[in-house]
Amino acid sequence: MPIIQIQILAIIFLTSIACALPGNFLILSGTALIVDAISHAILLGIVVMFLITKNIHSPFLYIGAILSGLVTVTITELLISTKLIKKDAAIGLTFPFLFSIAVILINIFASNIHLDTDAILLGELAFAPFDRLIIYNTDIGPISLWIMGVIVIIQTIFVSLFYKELTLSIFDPHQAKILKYKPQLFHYMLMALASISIIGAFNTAGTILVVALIVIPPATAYLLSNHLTTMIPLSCIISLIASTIGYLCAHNYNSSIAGAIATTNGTIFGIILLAKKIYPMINFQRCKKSDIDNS
Amino acid sequence: MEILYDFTFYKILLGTTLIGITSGILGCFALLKKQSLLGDTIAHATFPGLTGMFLLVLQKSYAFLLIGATISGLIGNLLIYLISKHTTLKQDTVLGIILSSFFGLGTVFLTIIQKLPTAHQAGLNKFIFGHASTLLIHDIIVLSLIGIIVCSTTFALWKEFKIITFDTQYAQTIGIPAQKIEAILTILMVLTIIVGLQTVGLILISSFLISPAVSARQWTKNLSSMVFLSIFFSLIATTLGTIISCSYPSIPTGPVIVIISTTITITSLVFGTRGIITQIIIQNKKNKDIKTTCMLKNFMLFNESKIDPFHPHDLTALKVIGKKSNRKILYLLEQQGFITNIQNNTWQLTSKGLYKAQKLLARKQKCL
Repeated sequence: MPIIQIQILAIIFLTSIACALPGNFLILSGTALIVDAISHAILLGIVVMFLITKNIHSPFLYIGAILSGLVTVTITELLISTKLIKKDAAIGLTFPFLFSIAVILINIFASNIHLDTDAILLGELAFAPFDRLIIYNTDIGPISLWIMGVIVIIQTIFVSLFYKELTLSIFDPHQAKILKYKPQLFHYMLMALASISIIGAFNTAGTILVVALIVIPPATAYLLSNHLTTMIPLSCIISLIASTIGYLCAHNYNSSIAGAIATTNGTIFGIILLAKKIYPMINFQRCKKSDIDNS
Repeated sequence: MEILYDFTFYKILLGTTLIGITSGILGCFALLKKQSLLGDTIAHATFPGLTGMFLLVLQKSYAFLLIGATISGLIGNLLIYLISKHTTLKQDTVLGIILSSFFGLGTVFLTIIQKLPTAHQAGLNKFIFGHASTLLIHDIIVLSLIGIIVCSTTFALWKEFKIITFDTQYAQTIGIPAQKIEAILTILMVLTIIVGLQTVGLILISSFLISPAVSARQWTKNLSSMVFLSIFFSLIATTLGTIISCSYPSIPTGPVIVIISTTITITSLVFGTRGIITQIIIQNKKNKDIKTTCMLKNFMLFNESKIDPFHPHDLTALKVIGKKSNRKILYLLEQQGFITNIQNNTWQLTSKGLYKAQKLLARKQKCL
């Protein structure tokens, strides 16, 4: 396999893990679609930063993206706190508004600049290896590889450090409040983790693939396990398998890598769901001795 | 106002108002059933139908594309229903799965189309972002037909839709086929989204379904009023949006309508009859009531140790018992005639006040 393809595959692997880790918690807390909202609203942050810095390769665009992610979450939470709108309606109000502002800004101020909206939706995985990171005149690999690598490390650290708190905040927020674990804080932290993955990945993977990677592998793992400690590693493994298959299909049929991986994830989910219906005992959960004794 | 003489303007206006009306109606039901984001998901789910159909017939005929979009939208809907029924995954997650995987499939088809020698895919891109000015006359006719279907079905099945939205189980007990009616609702939603695809694009269409319904909800509790208000707000947004968009050709129609619609929503949230300002006013009134009651009770507490209930009390003495002794509250009570101010800082119950305080004590309301 040529070196370029290995690098693309490496970037994809890191992205898959970086997305699957927060995804487990997100789907269990029922706020999966905020990822979709954040990934659409990112366009606004990018556009605003671009209009300020006038440089399409400026690192400030990333900061703009992070800020717009935070703004989306804040506005949504604000709308929910008025108790006049439910969670899903709040999400569906916020992101089209921010996205519309972004599109209008592009059309008024930047119509001659090639701010490729296609790329934001679909990503440019095929070109990712060509953006290299050059420190002191040595080429140490694609930029995306390093960014996603750092993000994976950040995610792993956060998930292992705050595993107890995150789990409690999701499954029993009232208990968390009583024990002074501040569920609201961890809710925001979860959103922030997801935003970091989305922003790190949108350049290469595109917004749709990011949503797929965050939601689908954990959902598949959910079907196959009974406990969060099994679900998290399982989601990473499933994600890696799906990404490999997706990439190979895209390579052979010369189509969008992002789309292929998203579709593969969905297909694998469907297959596992069907398999579970036929053989309901399919489970990767190791039985504890106490389970057998008690039943 | 030259645009009023422009035929294209009226064409676009007709297109946007049609989708405004249909989505205004259906958005109300979706909102009340807590399925607001279903619209967004269906919109993304129509994408593989669009691109796949183009791949099949290799011509950008609007009718074929719409049929493809409808089929894949319906399949997506069916899968959402099946997955929800057979797993314990949350609704969000199921929507997210269908949304991303279907859209991914659509982009795979899109990139295959892009590599074909007959690359006419530029038209397909318009379904993502919307391009209202490319509507043709016979497109408008198709859209009007769909609009008529939606409106007449809603009118005919109004009672069924209403009961399904508010109390599904009761509906089942009186013999209404709840699942079939829900299926009809979702089919109507798919049709509405198809209508909106070319005008506003599939990213923004969820706003069309949600914004007018949320705005209308802030003004009424009645379902029929809500639907009519929703249509009204939707029409304002689409008309204004189309006028602005056509006057300044560089601005696309969809985003302007969404911004106006969301502004109406925010205004309704703040000023509506259930809105934030009303909540603040009611809360203030409640606080005042509680404080005046407690103040009067404090007077009575003093009087327990004295024989004369009309003995005047100093302000500082009142502060000792009541944790929050406000001058404002005292003046308010004076206005209502329950106490009188004898000198500076000394207050005395009136006979009216005594009567009221005794009644309040009998009511056993908790004091702060």
